[in-house]
Amino acid sequence: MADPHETVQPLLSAYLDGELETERRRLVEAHLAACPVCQETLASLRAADDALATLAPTPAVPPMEHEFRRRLRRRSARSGLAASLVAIFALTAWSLLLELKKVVRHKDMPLWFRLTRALSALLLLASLSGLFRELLRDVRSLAEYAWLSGEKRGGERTHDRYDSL
Amino acid sequence: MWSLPGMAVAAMESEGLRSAPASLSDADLVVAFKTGNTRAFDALFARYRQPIFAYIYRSVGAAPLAEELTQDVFLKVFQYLRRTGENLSVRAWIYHIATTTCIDAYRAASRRPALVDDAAALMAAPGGIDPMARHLERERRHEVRSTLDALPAQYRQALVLRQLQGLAYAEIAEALGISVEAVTSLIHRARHAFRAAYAQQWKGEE
Amino acid sequence: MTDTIRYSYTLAPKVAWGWGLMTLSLLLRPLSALALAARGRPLPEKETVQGTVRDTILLAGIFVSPFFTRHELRADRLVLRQGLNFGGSIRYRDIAAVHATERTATGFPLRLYPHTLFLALWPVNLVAIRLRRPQSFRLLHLVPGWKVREVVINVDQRDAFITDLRRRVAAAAEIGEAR
Repeated sequence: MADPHETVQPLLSAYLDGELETERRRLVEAHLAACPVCQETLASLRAADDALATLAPTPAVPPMEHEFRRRLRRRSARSGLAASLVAIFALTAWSLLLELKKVVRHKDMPLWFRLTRALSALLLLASLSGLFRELLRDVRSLAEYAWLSGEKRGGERTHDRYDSL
Repeated sequence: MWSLPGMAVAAMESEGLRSAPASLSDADLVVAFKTGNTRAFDALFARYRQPIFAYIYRSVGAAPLAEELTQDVFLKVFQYLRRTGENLSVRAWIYHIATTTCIDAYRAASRRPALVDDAAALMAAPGGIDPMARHLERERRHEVRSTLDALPAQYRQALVLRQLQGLAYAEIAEALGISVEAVTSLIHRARHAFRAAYAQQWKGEE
Repeated sequence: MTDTIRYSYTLAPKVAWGWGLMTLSLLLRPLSALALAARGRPLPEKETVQGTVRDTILLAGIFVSPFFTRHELRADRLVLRQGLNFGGSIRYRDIAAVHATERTATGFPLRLYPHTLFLALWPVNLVAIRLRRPQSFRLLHLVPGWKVREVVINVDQRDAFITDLRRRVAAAAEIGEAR
């Protein structure tokens, strides 16, 4: 049977924070009633908490909505990476469509061959569009938010009413 | 778009209620955001601005840097919230982003930020009328503060999240990316380390 | 926990459909040419049998092989695999944090960024593994990459994997301290 002292010591912090479930909490309480060493350790942990509690309140967060929205707008405007990806996707789609046209035009090739090639192009497009759809949604939501916040800027300053929260 | 939380947020805006945002839970706001209502993000931003700033400020020690990092955190929140799963603990997730942002900032700075004599915080101290008492109080705060800042980053973050931000162990586990058992032992060791460092640095201050 | 548990990363519907569809579509091209050659018909211009066989083998290596491997949680380390494209391991004591993440990268299947290695086949169920110290990995089992701080992978059972990995990392840390 494990030494209760060894088991309880590492649990004292969790006990102090109320993070122990009933069974282990009772175990700790029972042990504490009889063990001065653990009582002292607990007191030491409490003292650390009390010391931390004296820390000055952190300074109020400076108003940052405008700066934040400006950065968000810049980010959506500057999503060069997203734009280049869309370009790559468009290029791929276009070259695949050309391939399709070529396949259709090559009457000398058997039908099953042409259909298979056409199918391969379409399937590739389908799988790639799954990847790009997420990206496009991201760009769209960034742009939408940036546009919305830009619109409100001159007007009623809706955002400032959150400052009191 | 016309889900219940979405309509609630829209109604809120049109009536201009100040206190309404507080009545919507984090989960409701996330649902509204995911269905396309980007205004719900404003409410989350307002709700977590101060706590996240406080956490980052205690982690990195300088207010201007903390302000910039807080913005970085919310930029990431905006970008990635849409893709998160169903049962997300938003609070823990935002703290997770704040934690990794701080870690990246430490690495970029490649040295620990110097302790800043925070005049604003000192002035905000309540204290009594007695100048001696106020002075002692300021001294004490400075000691606690420098001891905290001298601790290894992970101990400091654990203590701040637990003591100053009031996160539960499960949330701290999510924020730091470790198991709950690891959080238990981390906080235990962090408290001991703090106590030992404090006693050693400011001898006789028992 | 000393038993080895394997975690798949190709069975989630999105991955199976996405990656599977891509693999199929890419393989159909050379395979249809080979079928043509098998029937004695001439190939379309610019395609040769040699080139087509080579393409098939390459594509199979890169796109099909990941379906046959899985990531492993061993007694003391995490072993990451992606078919023939990648094999590497991370010791638990070198792991600082494990998080679910939504950060993706463009391109596939291995992407090496300044500080992060993206090993995910498809951007779903992503897990970010942050390391204590920068570590470098070999791409294609041969080419050493630069040192990275973080590895992002995808697994089908994300929550179970994260819980399991975090527990093993914590256990390894305890053993390390006890020494």
